[in-house]
Amino acid sequence: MHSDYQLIQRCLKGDSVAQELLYRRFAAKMYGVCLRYTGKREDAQDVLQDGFIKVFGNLSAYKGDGSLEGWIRRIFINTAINHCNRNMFIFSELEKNEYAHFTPEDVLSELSVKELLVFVQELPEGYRIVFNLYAIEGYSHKEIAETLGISANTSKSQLSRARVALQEKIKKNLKYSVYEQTA
Amino acid sequence: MNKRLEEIDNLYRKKFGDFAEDPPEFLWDKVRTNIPPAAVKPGLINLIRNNPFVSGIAGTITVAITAVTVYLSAYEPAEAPGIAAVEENKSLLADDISAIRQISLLENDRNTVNSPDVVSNSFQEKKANIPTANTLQPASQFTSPAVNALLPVSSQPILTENTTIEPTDNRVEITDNGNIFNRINNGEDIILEKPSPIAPENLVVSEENTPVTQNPVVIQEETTLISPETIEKEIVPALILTPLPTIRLASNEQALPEIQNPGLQEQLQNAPPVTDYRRNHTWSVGLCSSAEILSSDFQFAKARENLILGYGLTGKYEKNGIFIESGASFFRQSGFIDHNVKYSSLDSVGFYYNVDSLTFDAYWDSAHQTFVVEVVFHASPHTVFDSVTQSQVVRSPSSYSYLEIPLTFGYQKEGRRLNWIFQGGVVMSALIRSGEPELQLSHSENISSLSTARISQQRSAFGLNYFIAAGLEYKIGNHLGLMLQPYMKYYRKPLYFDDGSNKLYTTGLKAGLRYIF
Repeated sequence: MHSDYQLIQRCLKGDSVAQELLYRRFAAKMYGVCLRYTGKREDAQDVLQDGFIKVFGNLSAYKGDGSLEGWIRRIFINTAINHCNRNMFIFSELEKNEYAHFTPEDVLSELSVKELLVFVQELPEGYRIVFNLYAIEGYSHKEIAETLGISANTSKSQLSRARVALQEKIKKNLKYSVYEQTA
Repeated sequence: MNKRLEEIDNLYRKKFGDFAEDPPEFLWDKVRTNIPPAAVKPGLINLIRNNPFVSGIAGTITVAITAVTVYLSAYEPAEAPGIAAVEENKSLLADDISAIRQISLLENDRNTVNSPDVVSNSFQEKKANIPTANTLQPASQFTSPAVNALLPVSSQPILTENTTIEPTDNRVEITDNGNIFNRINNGEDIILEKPSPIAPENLVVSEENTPVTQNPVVIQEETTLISPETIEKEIVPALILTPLPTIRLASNEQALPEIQNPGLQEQLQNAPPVTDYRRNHTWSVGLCSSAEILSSDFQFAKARENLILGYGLTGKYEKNGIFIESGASFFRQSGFIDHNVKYSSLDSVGFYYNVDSLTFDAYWDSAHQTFVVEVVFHASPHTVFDSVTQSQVVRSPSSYSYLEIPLTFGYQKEGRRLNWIFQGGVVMSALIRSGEPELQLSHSENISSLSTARISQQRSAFGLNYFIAAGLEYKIGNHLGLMLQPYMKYYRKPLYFDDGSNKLYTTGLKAGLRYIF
């Protein structure tokens, strides 16, 4: 097993074996990131391809300040954001069921990752990106605002709407009986 | 309510924390074919480049190795001329060519040489009596019995017809067949050596007629002769007891014999002060250009910013190898400034149809035997614009000019043609011109609001760096030298405002001309 440093040095020298090793090491995780940020698998694959090209092109810029995975993940997040439509924050208001009751944890835990992924992918781009950045990556609204070039309030409202939209999707997909019992 | 909504965050965070899915296999092929060519840097160079500490060590080692190499190459172990001469003289009678050319006056002969008889004869007369290479004359041919007695049997002084001995201002030049000998003082001995340009440092030559020596004199001639037949043409006969000008060891005056010739005494008193023809101190000016490469992890140091070009004029005072140098130089650095631009612009977000008119078309449908009335909407499309907020990094070119004032010290090791120079000091720099053009936006249409924030660091007005260099100077002529000097700078106070995490350091090469007064 190569250390990150050895792997990077070999990649910088143009070692194709090392490049493939690096790709294999992070491809699955980064593909998961891409899937979360994009609506379609084809888009996720485009982002994955672009992201790895950027990683290999900028590998010399990695100074070992943080983990290599974190550095690569940031590249993929930025690539995914750039891949999205720039008009992603213009959406119609969600008009109904905004404050609907949510399902308890035990019901949610029955949902599979694939189901949850589909729900996220079905979100409008703006909701999806803000939700991913906030809920999963742990960005603050201020950081999201700086990253996306929007205001913090916009970020908050996008997150709120994303949550409601996800809630609606989850409710629709849960067995009605279970939902009725808990509602 | 919010708390319950936030449960979905936790759910996703929990489920997607380590979410991974294998991508399709063909993606690697796509990635592989699009990987940009690697900017290959050797590991050691990369290590040096990325680590200022290692860079400093590498620079120090390089300078140290260079210094030791120069010292060892310039060092010549001193011989014991007197002993060597005696050994050589033993083989003189056996036609040993080298022995012919190396004759020694031993220490105990000194007083004999200084006889009035010898002193009273003029130089030319002496020369006329000296046997030539054609006929090796016995020692008794010398005018002075003292001189003859002084010479060992094997040490016949021989001069060719073309041999002349001419005293100059501060040294003796012995010319033989066009070969010029110089006399040097090697501590204990006085050596005539060909063709070394080195002249004695502490000898006073005042009168051609006084063959006074303090110490054994050895004449060494480095030319190798192949056979005795060539002696007449090529050999430089040894000259010892011919009327050498007075030789006096300034550093050993108490050992000087008393000069009895009044004319010589007068000349000695009026003789100019002894000076080293190499001059132990010099003034010089240098005109040089330099190219530096940024070597540190400077955030915005890309290709254009990595190169710094400079020109300078310096003055240098050198004494006994130690010198101080200062002056002024200008250097220019080009680069880019990055701004984060946020703007709102009106952009199309879609369109709708506006119904302009409504008409009712009525007709009889004979096929169905019914009367039909159709409503026709006459509509026109209208594009909907909305304000879109976007963020963009805008890069614009910039250039900066600096004035540098160096103050450096160093050591200069002189060679015949090459001077080795080791130098270090501080360099102060001041920003004298900052070329930062107005930010130009290519997408200025329909921009409703705009805010810009500079990302690139601001340039500081003053900087200070430490300078170290090791180089050489090739002497083109007596007054002109060609400099070539690799150097390294470490910026104690960088050229830009910095949080201290990144220290700028550069490596460069300085080349130029130096005029020595």
